Amino acid sequence: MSPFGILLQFKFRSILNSFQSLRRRSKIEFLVLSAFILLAGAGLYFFFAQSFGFFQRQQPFGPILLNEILYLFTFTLFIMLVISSSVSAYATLFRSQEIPFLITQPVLWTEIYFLKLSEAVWYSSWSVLFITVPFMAAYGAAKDILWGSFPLICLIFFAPFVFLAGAFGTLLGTVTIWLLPGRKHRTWAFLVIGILLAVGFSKIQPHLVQEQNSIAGILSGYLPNLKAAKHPMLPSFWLTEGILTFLRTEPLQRFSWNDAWFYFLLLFSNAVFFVIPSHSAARWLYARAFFRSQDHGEVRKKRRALIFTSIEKAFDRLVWPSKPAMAFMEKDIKSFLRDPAEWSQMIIFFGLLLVYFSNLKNLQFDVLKDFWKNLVFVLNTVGVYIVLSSFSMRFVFPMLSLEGSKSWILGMAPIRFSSPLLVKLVLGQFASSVITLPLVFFSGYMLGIPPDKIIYTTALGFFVCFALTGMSVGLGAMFPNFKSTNLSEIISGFGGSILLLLHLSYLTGIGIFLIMSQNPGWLIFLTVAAMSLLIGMIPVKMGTHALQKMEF
Amino acid sequence: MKNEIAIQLNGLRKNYGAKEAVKGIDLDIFRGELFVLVGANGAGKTSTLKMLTGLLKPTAGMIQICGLNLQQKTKEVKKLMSFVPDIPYIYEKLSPWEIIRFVGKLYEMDRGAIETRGKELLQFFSLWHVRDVLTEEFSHGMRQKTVLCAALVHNPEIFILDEPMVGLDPVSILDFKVFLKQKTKEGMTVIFSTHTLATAEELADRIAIMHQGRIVALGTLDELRTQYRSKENLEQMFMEMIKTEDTR
Repeated sequence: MSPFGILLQFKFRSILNSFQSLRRRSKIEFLVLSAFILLAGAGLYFFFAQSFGFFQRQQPFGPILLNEILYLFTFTLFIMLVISSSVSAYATLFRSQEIPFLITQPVLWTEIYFLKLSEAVWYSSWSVLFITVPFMAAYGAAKDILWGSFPLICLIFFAPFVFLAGAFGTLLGTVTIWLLPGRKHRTWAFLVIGILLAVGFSKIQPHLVQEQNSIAGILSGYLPNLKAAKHPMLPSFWLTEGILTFLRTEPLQRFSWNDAWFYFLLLFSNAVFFVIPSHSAARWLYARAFFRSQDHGEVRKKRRALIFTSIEKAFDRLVWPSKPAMAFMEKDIKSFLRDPAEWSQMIIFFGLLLVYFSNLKNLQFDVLKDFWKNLVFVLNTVGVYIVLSSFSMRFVFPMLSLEGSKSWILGMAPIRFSSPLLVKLVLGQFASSVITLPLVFFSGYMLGIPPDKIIYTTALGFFVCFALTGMSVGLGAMFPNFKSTNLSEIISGFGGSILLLLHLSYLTGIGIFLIMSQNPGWLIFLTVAAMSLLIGMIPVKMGTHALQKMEF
Repeated sequence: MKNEIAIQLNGLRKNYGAKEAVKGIDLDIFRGELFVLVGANGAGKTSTLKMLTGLLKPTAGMIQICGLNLQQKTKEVKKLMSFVPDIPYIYEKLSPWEIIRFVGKLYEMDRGAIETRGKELLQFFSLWHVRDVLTEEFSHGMRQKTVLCAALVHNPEIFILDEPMVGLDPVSILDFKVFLKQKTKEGMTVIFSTHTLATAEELADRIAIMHQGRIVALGTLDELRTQYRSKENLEQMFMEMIKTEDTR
């Protein structure tokens, strides 16, 4: 067997072992996880099915709109897969502790590259599976084609699509590291690209809505704006077009030659073709990029940055609620500021939302009727929370696991274990509120939503931030992974999966609440706020309890 | 000073599921003593040290530190102790100076004391010139030295180390040995585990040899020689003991 085959075999074995250890851990834990997965999947399905049902009823444009949503969904999925594969390429190809070991083995650089590419595709597949299955099932149900050949055709079309996005993302990540081995240069480059994107986006002249008394009028105004998602060079276009063509074909003709298979072959041949640039990158670029990234240490500064000296001076004065709690806060703030990987991604994603919100008037959403404006406002708000949730899972959840490897500090410090958790809760709440609440407010303002409704939704946002942060902090303490320093590994564990499901369930609930309650009173507000506080506080309490009993 | 008991272990046991890692240890360690635990991999050294520090909870038995019950007076006991693990995990985005500040604050030291003590330690461990460099750029040895500085900043009464010499350069090892000797003379109790028997032989006031979760030999080097009727060095005595234990 080739070294690559051996590596894959051992990876597969380690995945199997992980599943087996999960099954061995506790039957209850396994059952709870399975139940949560099913519940969250059912929740997502319900959400999509309701939305699609609504659109489908808007005749004669319903079916067209549903297809447009499918184009938009696959387009977004493709972008997300490329970005996540690029980020994971950086973590697994350049920062993983496994790489130095593999380099010393009689294994080629190309084999290491393809091993890590397989891992990126494998991990992407899981996230795709989780969000795509309920989405496509709801789509199939709305079109009355849920059963029969539809699931099979989805599987056939999505497989090369996921590989293509993973290969492209991994290649992009490798080229980026080769060109910009220094972290600071990368951060600045990403920021410049972000600004250019923002400027470019603001220059887009969308089609105007001429007539909004009917759904048809609104759709005829907006549908042309979605044409970017239907560019024929995009793999997401081939995927969607393939599935739609398949569905348009007579059932008996579907598996004989038709245009759908042309799109499949387009996807498949591109996926296969992408092995060539990947192989070249692995052969010519990967080793060079790896050594460049190793050589490119940050410049050692004799003088300390003013910002950090100021932080220290400020924290020397802060002793409430306790000196140790403030020490944790000072340490977390410094670590966060020094890790561009954390804040640059936040700036890019929230920055894109800001750019989109700034263009709401340009896109003429503000002249829509109240019902549509409210719907867009709710969708924007939920969108902000989804981005916040992903950052909360990525950065807040693993914080305690990362402390655990420093058990000689955390475990030995004469402190109450609630201290570090509360500090993380306060910091997470502060950061998420500062970023998301102005965005929610701004989105409402740009849409011309009545001020009382904007204040209502923004105020509710504070409690949503609390619930999301509380769940991340609490579950981070209840299910820590002290053995790993790899963020992706910590997040993809049992606790991370539960957290993902809890976040999605909670946000689905909040989304449904915001859609259903067009004019809710303050009593309902207080009830939802109190529930959110409880949803955030209970995991923190449980996490503190778990931490007190923990062995390091 | 060496008659005063600093650490007392009674019937200490640790099970990981069905596996018994530590099978009942009774031990007194005296104040100002330099006590060394030696043993093969999996002998139970790290589990014992971690139980001593409160990082692991014993399955059974009692631990008293300076007369305080560890399980009952955890916070008070932790103020007296410090632990250096075998793998020097530290905050990569902080400099040695910041890590020392952080740990000092956790022990509620005031700023002046942290700075004086921090400077002293960083100079001693030759890290003063890199005090503002992020530790992510450090080698294993430099990280180990940073951990040592941070662990010593609050001047602990009891200093517990798991394989402390791993990764240190020869000069640092020599300096560190002198440092430990000096500290024990000043009254600090030092307990460490090692696989380097020559170090144990050179430094230890008393040595405990652990095998399969039990202390199979305990005493000063001379006492061990008498006990095993041997004139050999610790390495040969150790091999002899392990063989004897395995054949029982």
